[in-house]
Amino acid sequence: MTHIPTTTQSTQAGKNNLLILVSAPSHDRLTKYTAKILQTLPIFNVPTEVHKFEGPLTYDQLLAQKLINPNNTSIALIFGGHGEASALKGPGANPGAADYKKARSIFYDDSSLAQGPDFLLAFCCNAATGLGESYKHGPARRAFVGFKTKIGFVTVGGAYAKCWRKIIHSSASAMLRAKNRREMKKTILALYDAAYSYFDSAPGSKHEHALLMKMYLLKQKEVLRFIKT
Amino acid sequence: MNRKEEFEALLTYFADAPVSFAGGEDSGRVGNEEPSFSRKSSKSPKRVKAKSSKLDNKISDEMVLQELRRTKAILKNNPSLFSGDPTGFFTYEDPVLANIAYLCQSHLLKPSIAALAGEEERTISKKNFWEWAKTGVHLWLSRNAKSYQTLMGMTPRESIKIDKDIMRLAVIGDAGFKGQAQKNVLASIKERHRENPFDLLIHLGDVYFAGNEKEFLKNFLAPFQKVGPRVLALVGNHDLYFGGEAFLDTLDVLRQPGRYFCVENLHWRVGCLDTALPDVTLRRNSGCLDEGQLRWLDELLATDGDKQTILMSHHYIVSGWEKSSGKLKNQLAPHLKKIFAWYWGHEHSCAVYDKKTAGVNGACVGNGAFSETWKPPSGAPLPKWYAKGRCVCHQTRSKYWPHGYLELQLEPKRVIEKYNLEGGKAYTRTLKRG
Repeated sequence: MTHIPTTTQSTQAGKNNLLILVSAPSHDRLTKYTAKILQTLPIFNVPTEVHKFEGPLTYDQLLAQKLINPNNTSIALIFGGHGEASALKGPGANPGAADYKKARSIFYDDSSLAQGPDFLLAFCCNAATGLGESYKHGPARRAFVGFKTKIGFVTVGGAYAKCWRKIIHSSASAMLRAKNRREMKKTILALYDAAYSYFDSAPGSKHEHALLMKMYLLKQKEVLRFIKT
Repeated sequence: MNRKEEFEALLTYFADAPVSFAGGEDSGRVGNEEPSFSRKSSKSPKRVKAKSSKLDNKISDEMVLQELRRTKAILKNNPSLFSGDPTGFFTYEDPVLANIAYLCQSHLLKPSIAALAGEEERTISKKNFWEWAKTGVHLWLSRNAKSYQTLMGMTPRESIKIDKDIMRLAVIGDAGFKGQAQKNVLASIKERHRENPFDLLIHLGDVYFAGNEKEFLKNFLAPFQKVGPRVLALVGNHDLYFGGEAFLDTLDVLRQPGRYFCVENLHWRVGCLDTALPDVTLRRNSGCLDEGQLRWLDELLATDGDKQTILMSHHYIVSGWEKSSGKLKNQLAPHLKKIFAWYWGHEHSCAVYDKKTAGVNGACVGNGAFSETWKPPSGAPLPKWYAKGRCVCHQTRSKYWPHGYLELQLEPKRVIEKYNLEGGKAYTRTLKRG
């Protein structure tokens, strides 16, 4: 189990504790896949809330539902789903609606920046260009890891899901544990290198979609953005 | 597994790849769903619309996968898009597939060099296929669409006049493919030209695989210019799969008056049509004429005088093998009575039709260079004659249509058609003016 300091380095001044909030929208083929991964992440040694949602929801609403006070709790948000430059996106309609699979709504954007989270792992497309920029110039002692462009996933279970799970879990841990941006970046990039190496040689290379995994691991690695203020 | 099967297996692998993209925009079937059209639908699924902002630097993986998925679905609905030799060189009547097939096969053409270095690459790896697919999609999406507009404006102001009583034309179709067949056929035209000169060598269109500049130069201009007679070119569907620039440049090189044009002497008018550019469908497989061209044709046919009119085009309205273009047929139906004869390509075969059964005296002369598996006609109208031999380019009897060209002699009172095939065989027909 990865040790994550629960105070001082990880928490903002004036905040007593750290909470990992895993937000898993689940409304189309991709997000159903990522939701399963997020729901089965290895245990962190800090309090963790996993919330899967299938209808429209915002970050503020989620905090309210979970009775989380962002003023006294340092929040590490792990988000897996769809994104765009300035927003993390969730379902835009309720299950059963005609356009359910395609409709999107904003889960989080920088209008909620004051509320946090203090740590954001945005495992979705594009958010690093807008949200990442907001984090860079926003309140101090925050961290952001996300992607600058669209990212692809091989959406198959087994070794593939195991790989994504490890990357997400270890990236989040690195984000919380690292003393500085450089350390965070080094650790996370090493995760991608290890994953790539697995699929590049036996036995990982024998997997049917090993080539695709390598492609998308490389692509994700190329477009990662790391912010730690 | 033959090359076609290998190619299509790789296409299927990537098209069916379980990959999704975590984008925020609603970009339709972005890896989330299978294409929503039904298998029975006759409509082709829509292509990725290329927005210039997306193409500034590169095509995304998502766009490539989307194209591959749709291309696979198109091919599944229309297996007849395949054309050529499943064990040799082949293409598809689809711009994305044609581009990818070209790149893959260009790669496989290198074994002769690789063999010298002690390697032999006879198969395409998944990694290579993906690279060619990305490039192929990129080629298609980054084509200069404006060049089509420029080409559309290339309409003739004057006809090409042959100041002779007897006009001799060498007509060859679908011959923009460099290989032994092209070499043999052009050599036989050259030899015949020495014996009895042709006034023109007319290509009925299709430079493989996608009509880019390199292909036009290497597969068409260079070999054809060496034959002897002046060369003119009709537009085929493959000529436009990479935009219209290469064909525009070719018009300049050939000093050709337009994408459609007329050749005439005292007794005959040969209207050379462009049935490819006005066909705005993705694959340009059916052919049709634009309004301006139809007006030009009306004027041509209405001109007073004793001249009779012969037409040439890439696409056909008559075939004993494939269903012919409804639109082109409808456009030209009112004029058929005034047409003395018609010659076309597109199908890689050699077959002669007569007015009684087909409504027009004409022939398919698409056996210029591309290898196509021979098969007998299966529909109406049945041709009056079709080549029954086989290609002997490599000196052993193969399963392909024999290659050749049409020697057309336009005399004051008659037309003599001689369908010259490899191996010295020929079929001759004489059409007399009424």
